Amino acid sequence: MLERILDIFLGIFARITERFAPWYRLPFSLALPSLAGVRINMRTRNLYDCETAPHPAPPRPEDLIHARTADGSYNDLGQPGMGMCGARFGRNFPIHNTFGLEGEALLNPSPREISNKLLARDTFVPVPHLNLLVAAWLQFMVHDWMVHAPSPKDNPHKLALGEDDDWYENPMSILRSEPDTVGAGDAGRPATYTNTETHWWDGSQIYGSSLDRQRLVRTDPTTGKLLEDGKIYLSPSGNLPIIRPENDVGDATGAKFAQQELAGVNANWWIGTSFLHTLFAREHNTIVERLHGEFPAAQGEWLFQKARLVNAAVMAKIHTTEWTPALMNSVTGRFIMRTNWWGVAGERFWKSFGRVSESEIISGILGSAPNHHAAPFAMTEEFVACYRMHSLIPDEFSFRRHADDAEILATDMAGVSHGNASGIYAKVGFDDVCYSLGTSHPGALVLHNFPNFLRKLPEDPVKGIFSDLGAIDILRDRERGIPRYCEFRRLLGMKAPRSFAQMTANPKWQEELAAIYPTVEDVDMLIGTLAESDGGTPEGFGFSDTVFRVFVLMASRRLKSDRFYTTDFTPEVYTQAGFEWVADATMAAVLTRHCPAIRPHFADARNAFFPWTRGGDA
Amino acid sequence: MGRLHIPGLIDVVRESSAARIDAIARDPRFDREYRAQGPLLNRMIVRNLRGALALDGVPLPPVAPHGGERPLPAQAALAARLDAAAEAGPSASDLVALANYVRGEGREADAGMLVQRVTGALFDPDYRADPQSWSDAKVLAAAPSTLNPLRRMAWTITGRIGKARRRLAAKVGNDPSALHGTGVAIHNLEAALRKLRALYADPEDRARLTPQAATGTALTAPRQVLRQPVSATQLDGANLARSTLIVLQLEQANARDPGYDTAFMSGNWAECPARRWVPTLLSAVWAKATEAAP
Repeated sequence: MLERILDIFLGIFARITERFAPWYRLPFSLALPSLAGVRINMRTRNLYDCETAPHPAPPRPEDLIHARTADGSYNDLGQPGMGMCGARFGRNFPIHNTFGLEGEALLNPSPREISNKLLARDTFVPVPHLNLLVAAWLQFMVHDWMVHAPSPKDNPHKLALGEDDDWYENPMSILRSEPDTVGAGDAGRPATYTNTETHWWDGSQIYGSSLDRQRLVRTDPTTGKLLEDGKIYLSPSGNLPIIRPENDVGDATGAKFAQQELAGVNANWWIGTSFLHTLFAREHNTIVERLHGEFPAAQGEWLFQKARLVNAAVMAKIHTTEWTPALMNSVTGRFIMRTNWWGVAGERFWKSFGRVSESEIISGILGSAPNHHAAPFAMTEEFVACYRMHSLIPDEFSFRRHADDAEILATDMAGVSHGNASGIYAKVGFDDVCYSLGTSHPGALVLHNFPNFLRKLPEDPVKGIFSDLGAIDILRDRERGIPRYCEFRRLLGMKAPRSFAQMTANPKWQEELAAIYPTVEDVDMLIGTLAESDGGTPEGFGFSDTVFRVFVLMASRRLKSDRFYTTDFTPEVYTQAGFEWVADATMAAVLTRHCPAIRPHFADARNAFFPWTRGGDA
Repeated sequence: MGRLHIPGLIDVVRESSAARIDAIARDPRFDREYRAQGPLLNRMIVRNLRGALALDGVPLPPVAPHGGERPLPAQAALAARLDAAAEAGPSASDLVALANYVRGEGREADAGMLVQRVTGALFDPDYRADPQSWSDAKVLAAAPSTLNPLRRMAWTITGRIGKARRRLAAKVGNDPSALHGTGVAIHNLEAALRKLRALYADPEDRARLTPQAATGTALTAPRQVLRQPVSATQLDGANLARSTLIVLQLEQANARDPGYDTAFMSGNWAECPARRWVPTLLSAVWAKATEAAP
């Protein structure tokens, strides 16, 4: 009851303060309750279900209390199909605001023109206070949460290009999104799209979202046998195995590229994702060894499932208490995200006394009662749109030796992506890959900083087929009914700019935007959030306030909806050793376990996502 | 689900979740027998409803109890007729008139007579809507829910409700389903047409909304429909009396969880016979209005 009253008070407080200034312009003592109120209001107004009938769940598994299912079913025991792979994406906006565009409206202004004139990287703009693991981590998490179903090859969108465009084909072909099958209850509603991965924060990028995939990553490819000790298969050098075409279970991008490494999800693969997938596969195996020491008689299957629970929680914790605060590098930003895990009581108090209150504000979400708020749990299309952060990726990579910072290999994005990623380890070594990522910088989320490699991404170089990911990002948002930037902000309860000058403080950008968009209302969501970076981004933040609003809602929701982070986040379910493993986990601790030689380089950083000490300086 | 229960005065359960509404609408424990029993306001509401939405003492089909046969033959026949009309599409003259309205021609208030004429023509090709018929429709729609004692007294003294009903019924050959269509349900179609006009007035909406999207956005569900338990029962652990009124808040549910299912109560015995005709009409009107939009 008291918590409900507090929620009402904070919600009203946020509505009042937002009329005068966004939360980040307020002093800390006002910003904190304002931001808490923003989240409370969004939990009521910004969660919508796209399923018109309960998603069908598979038969009830043997143990649904103490382990996650491979496909994400039975997390919510009352609605077993919720959040499982194949379930629809939800929405953050009222359903009638999410009809996708078609015809001319879809193609105007031209996504390709926007890619050329507003996105194309002139010179690399880095974020000096972050390291490149930030970009890798983002994609690593995205692989856990969401992948849209593959696009059908037939009947692509045809985008007419200008005469001065040097693209290899005119019109440009962009494959369509594949909508979900329409059911009886879908009449009068927008198209919906399904997630091929589980929506839950369950480590499915490591373990896959099907039993077939899960068994594949646990199988020794040389013998074809499932590892009996509960571990994930890693090569003798500790790397992910190369996926064999005959072993490709076909539920994700598999053996399309030669020398592609095997993981739970291996789409959009590059050295950053390869490194983190490998690191946390190693972490899984180390957790198995720890649990085996504690429970020597335990079966491999039991060890695997417990280690998965622990490993997923470790990743969730790092994301919540380190990655996100690094991208929200302000006192308020860091504090609010860390309270998701520990509450305002803080980490030390939590570790000493555990939960002292049912309130998630006081004692954090971990171990509190689950709550889906206004809609069943699902990742949302708006969340997907907000995570279009390709500008974080550099075009050039320099791999250097941690001992002396000497360059070992310089290459471009093509040299580190898809199957080429696995070859990097032979030339550079795992520790030095890690060191190089930790001492490089990601790109800033601003206009004119979209990696040019991704703007001419080889889909089938032999046939000469490429994709412009910048144009695709714009078109996808329109196709999937993501409101334009101004409307997007209004639907989040934010003020919308009335002119290009109010959108961005950069006069050059204002002119460029006005040259493409008839009015400020027409600006695409992605473009608006990148333009907002100049003048509208909270100090120290790596992304705009607009996308932050969606994150502040969804980051807590991923924990608050999940039984394994709420009622079943207990030593009984995780084991005492597993529970303590999570409590002690940091990104630095994980790196120290698997790359101890480079520890001096990150030992002094606030956390492992801030820049490391280089070479001989360590 | 929310409940307002003041013994002797009122006992109302409100439900605004689309899924729960669907479940209650299918639940045989709840029907439209509309017994004027129990608390004072419950009795007034039921009497108003029964008094207004009946023709010659017989409830209009859309508010009639389930009874032994569903769908009622008259409703089934109407659904078939409307489905055929949906298949054929609106006449060229109706389409132009409605599209012109959406494009901003005429007064905004003209929507009522316009849709009343188009709807009435489904039952009588010579149907003519005029200010009187539209005024009658507004009275008939307001009558079941108006608790204002002064207005009710005035209507009783002047016989306004009965006169409005008789005039509207006479225009459609005393067909009870047609009376409901041109006098009560018509207001949802009018609201949808006004929304299409508002959408069209916004250049961005005009450019971006496909006919299906515009229809989904504009479609207006009835504000609410009523049910009563056929006998004392429980709902979500709450004890309900036979007199308890269960208010299914369709408009609110449809705003949160839109789709034709909620708006037309599709798939259950109380399904609206216009479930295909209305979306088809709105889509065609939007397509026509935007086919040469500036």
